[in-house]
Amino acid sequence: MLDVTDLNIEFHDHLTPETVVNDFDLHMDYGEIVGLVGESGSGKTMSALAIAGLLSRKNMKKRGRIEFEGTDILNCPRNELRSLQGKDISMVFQEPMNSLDPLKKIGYQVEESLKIHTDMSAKNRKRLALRALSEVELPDPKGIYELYPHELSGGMRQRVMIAAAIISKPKLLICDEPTTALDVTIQAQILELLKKINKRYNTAILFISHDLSLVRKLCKRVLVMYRGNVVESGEAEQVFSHPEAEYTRLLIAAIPKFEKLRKD
Amino acid sequence: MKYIIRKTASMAVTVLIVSFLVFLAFSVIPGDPAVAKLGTSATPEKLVKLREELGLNRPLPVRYFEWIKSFLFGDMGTSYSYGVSVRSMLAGKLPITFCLTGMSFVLIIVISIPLGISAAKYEDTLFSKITDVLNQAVMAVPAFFTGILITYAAGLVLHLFTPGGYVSYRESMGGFLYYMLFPALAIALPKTAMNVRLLKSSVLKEAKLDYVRTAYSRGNSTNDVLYKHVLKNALIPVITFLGMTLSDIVAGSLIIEQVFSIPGIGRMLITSIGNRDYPVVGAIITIVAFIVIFINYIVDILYQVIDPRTRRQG
Repeated sequence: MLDVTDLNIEFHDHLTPETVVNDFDLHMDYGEIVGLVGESGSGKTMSALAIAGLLSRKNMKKRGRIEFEGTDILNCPRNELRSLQGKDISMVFQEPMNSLDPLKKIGYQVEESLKIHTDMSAKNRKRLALRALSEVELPDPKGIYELYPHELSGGMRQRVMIAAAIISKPKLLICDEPTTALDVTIQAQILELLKKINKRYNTAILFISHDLSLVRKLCKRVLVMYRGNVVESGEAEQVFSHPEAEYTRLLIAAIPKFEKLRKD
Repeated sequence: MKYIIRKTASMAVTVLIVSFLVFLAFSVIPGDPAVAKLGTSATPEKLVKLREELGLNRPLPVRYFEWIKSFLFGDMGTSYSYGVSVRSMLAGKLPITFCLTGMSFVLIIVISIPLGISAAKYEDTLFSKITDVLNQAVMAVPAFFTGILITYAAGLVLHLFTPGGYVSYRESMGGFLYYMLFPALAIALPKTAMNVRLLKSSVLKEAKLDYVRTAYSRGNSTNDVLYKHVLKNALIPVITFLGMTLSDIVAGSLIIEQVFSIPGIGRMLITSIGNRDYPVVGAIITIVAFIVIFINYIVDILYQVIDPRTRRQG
């Protein structure tokens, strides 16, 4: 479904060009959940934005190939890209507080991609939006449909973001640190939700996080990034139990271990 | 709804306070309408008699209540200097000033909003750079000077209109509106430049926010993102500015009326202040204050309409 080969991204907004992603390769199949791990600035968000076709064209050089079902996302014309965005490829962002338009009702934002990509009637759109809202386990979808983003908590807003992302049943859902801004109990619920969505619709999920323990809970396969390079990739269990790269080992060592703490 | 009622009540109180301050100011500042009318050589007896006639010998609160009571019923008193009702003096002039203000406001909106949006949309292009430079220049010139420049350029050089050749709306509506276009432009230009700049920076600021990226991720085109999401958000500071501007141009038009010899309330206000013609001055200032307060009231309500975050419960 998705094939990324030799993706290179260079910034040119300073005097010296800066490589943020270097020879990034990724293959994803339908229904697969892949984790992309690394610290801030490792290039994981840049790679994700490139796959979602959201990198702006200014001050930036991109090389390589991102092929999604035969379409070259990096080089295809804008309207071809737009016909995929929100329909086949959806994205959930890190900051639920700012990722929704503050002046538009939740309903509008959830069904927006249907409005763009289909000629469905308003009534049908609303029906699907309500269903998506209940699918992300929000209480009282009808009430929430009429609310504005500022009237919801962070966790609820992130659920709304997910509802909006899955309403057109995308083949690929990119989640960029979707739980980082949320507290731990909500994190776990969001992970469960993503798992359910993956099972129900066979949606492939690219899950980006700096938190290894989350990735381990969710993903079958994982890529570890450091300073723009993929330093390690493979089956999640394999990577966690027998890390090859030094950096991965350090990352794993950095996970706090409550069990151990209790014994000490 | 509750909000609107509360707002209306507070607006009424503000207008009352302003009108009282205006009234108070006239009894505090030096100058005496009786002396102004009869001249400095008048005998004290005559002055006392006139003051009595004008009701100036009564205590201030009594005079204020009399005045505000009749004001509310549309009777704005009688001019000390001319002996005619203030109402009839204002009747022919207020529409002219309102028209001037209204025209400048429409010009500001019609010119600045499309220009501001395009300047943001085509940022980093020659177009945007040219508007930036023009903005700086126009913004720096005060309205009355722009008025003089327009009189010179459009009137004396290009002969688009006759400077000083005011056409009354009773004579010809078309001629009146055409003549008013030039002073309206003089008032509008500096404010337009400011608004273009404000709108441009506001759009650019909004365009960097996360929700814009979300909108793109759903497959919106650049224009859809701009008009369906960014613009409304970007207009919030612009509304505040336009509200202040509208109050400002009501005052600004009083000066421009002088430059273009328009018989609006501006000239009348200046003469009346000189003559200590309190009823006229009081009426004009109260009306202008009311307009300013009313504009603010409208802006507050507009906020509620456009921005759900400012809406209160109940």
